[in-house]
Amino acid sequence: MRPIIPFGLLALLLVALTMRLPAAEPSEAAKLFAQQRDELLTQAQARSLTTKEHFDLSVALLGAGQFAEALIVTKLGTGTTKEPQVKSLFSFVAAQALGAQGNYEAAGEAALAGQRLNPLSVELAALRFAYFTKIGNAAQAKSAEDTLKQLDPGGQPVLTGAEVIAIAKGVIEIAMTIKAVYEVSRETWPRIQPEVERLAVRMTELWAKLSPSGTRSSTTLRTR
Amino acid sequence: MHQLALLMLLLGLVSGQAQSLPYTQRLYCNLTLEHLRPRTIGGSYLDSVKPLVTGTCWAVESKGQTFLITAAHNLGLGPNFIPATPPKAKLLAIHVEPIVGSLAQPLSAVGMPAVNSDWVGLRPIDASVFKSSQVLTLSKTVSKLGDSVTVIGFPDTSHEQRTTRTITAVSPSNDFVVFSQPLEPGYSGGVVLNAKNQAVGVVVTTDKKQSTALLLSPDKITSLQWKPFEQVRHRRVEP
Repeated sequence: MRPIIPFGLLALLLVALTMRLPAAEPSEAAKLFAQQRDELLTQAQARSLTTKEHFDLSVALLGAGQFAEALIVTKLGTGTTKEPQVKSLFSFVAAQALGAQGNYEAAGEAALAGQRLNPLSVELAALRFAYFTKIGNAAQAKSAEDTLKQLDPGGQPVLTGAEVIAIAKGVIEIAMTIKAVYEVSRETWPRIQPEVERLAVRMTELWAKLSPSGTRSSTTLRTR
Repeated sequence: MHQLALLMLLLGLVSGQAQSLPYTQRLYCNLTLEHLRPRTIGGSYLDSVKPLVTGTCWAVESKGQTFLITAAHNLGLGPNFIPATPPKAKLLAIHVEPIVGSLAQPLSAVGMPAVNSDWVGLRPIDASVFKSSQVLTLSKTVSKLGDSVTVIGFPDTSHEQRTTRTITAVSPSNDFVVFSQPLEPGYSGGVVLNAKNQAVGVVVTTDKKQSTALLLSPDKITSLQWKPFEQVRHRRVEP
């Protein structure tokens, strides 16, 4: 007797279901970001936040879609550290927050300010390229594109649909999040929320990668 | 003896680091050409074109001053600048927004040569620009016919390129030289180095037929007349 659903198709369905599982993450992430935001805001009422806590709060606010608040926290956080690479991470969050509000020129400038502190950041170069392309600043976009090619010689700019998304090989993930944040000004928040949440998770990973907590002394993180 | 060896090693490392720096930086300039275009039904209307100009610049140290040098036409200045406006359009004004290098550094001042020739000096707002490429010195000897030189720049590339040329003609006044083969666009403003890696000139034309470079000297550098960049950022074109 032949099964109603062929085995091969069943296997495909199972694979598809497995692949769909990560899609459940965003709502979970949203809860975590909101929880982290509330915890840190409670802490902030009792004492000054550390640099790491400022970063976490800015990312949590970004993940929760509170872009203006995230921007304010990046400015406060930048003032708590003298570490250029940590400052550049705050610039990364600030650029995304500004871009999410539709202020693409300021977003590009924030990414550029971050790049000057961390010239080897592919992510910041990708943001510069995307935002300056968005506003039609050809000189800035070309400079950012060259930076990307210098940092990732095998990479090529990628044009997607009507929008120039970027970018070089190895930063496609960032390119996708840029696209998501681009859309916030004209699309509804729920639709792009998962992408922004993924971006916030990515930023937390960047902190772990670039900040002193992972590779150097952790004392800088406590600098106020 | 050990200290001497250590010193030699350190000097070697420092020298090695300096050598790893590029000789030049890419210059990017947003040009805005405002012009009047005639209507087919009579009259005219205000329009603008915004080409992107890219070229090369390089840092030089001469008589205690450090600044950048490039071809003037990269900034919409000088006798070789030909604005690309539409046919029959009347150019009214030129606006320039240049930035230098991969960190997009803005400029604070421009040094204009005493005579109207196609090169300028540039001062960046942030002196860290000079850490992104080597700071070159000018040769004290003048290049002559038959000399082999190295030209370095960004011929529409993201990475610095270099090529060798032979000088096939020198102007009677020793002001400029002509190369054996033309250079690609983008080398404009690039540096011409002699066999000792000293700067002898700046590339000013990258025509398809022939390319030329202006020969520089410490006296020419000293004669630059500096003014704030704001004074050249926007200028009206005299009728």
